[in-house]
Amino acid sequence: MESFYDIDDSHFPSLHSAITDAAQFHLGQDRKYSKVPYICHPLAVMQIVRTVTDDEGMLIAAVLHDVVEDKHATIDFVESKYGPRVAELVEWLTDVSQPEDGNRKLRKSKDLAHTAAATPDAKTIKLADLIHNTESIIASDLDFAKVYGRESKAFRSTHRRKQ
Amino acid sequence: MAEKAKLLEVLTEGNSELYDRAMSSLRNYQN
Repeated sequence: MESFYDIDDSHFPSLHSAITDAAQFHLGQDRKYSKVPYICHPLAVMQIVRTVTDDEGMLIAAVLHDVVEDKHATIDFVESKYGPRVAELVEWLTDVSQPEDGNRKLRKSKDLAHTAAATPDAKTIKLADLIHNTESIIASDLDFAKVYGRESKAFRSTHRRKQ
Repeated sequence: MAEKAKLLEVLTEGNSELYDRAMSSLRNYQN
């Protein structure tokens, strides 16, 4: 992961505020599988975006990309505080399907069509989101495999002694 | 992962470096 130490007010005047807001919005929320504090995810997505651009609007949208979808904030809030471009990016990064749209497959299809229509900048942030989600799943699976391997070995060892 | 592969298909207009990295991550997972 890139360093956070050069994210200062002189280079990114609004990013500091966006990180503080995101940390507040996601307070008490954990990631689904890894159970680490949720804020780790939007920060990681922002850092992945940073590897290809220093566009502050994109970095802010990366940090805030889940706050509307998770119903912590509204698009109006994002627009009033961070402007119309960040709000537009966050809107593209927010799933549009509702429970009444049907089963999971139908809802996913609607969300995919929404993402397909997004701007190239929003798609770049979505790529960073996809990268971090996939890498997190791989890391979780590896951790699971390690624990399973250790427990399985211990079980086999105990089982052999009893025979 | 099938859903993630479908998602990648609609993200071709995003940054090409991140597109390649996303594709590589998905392949790593599938292997």
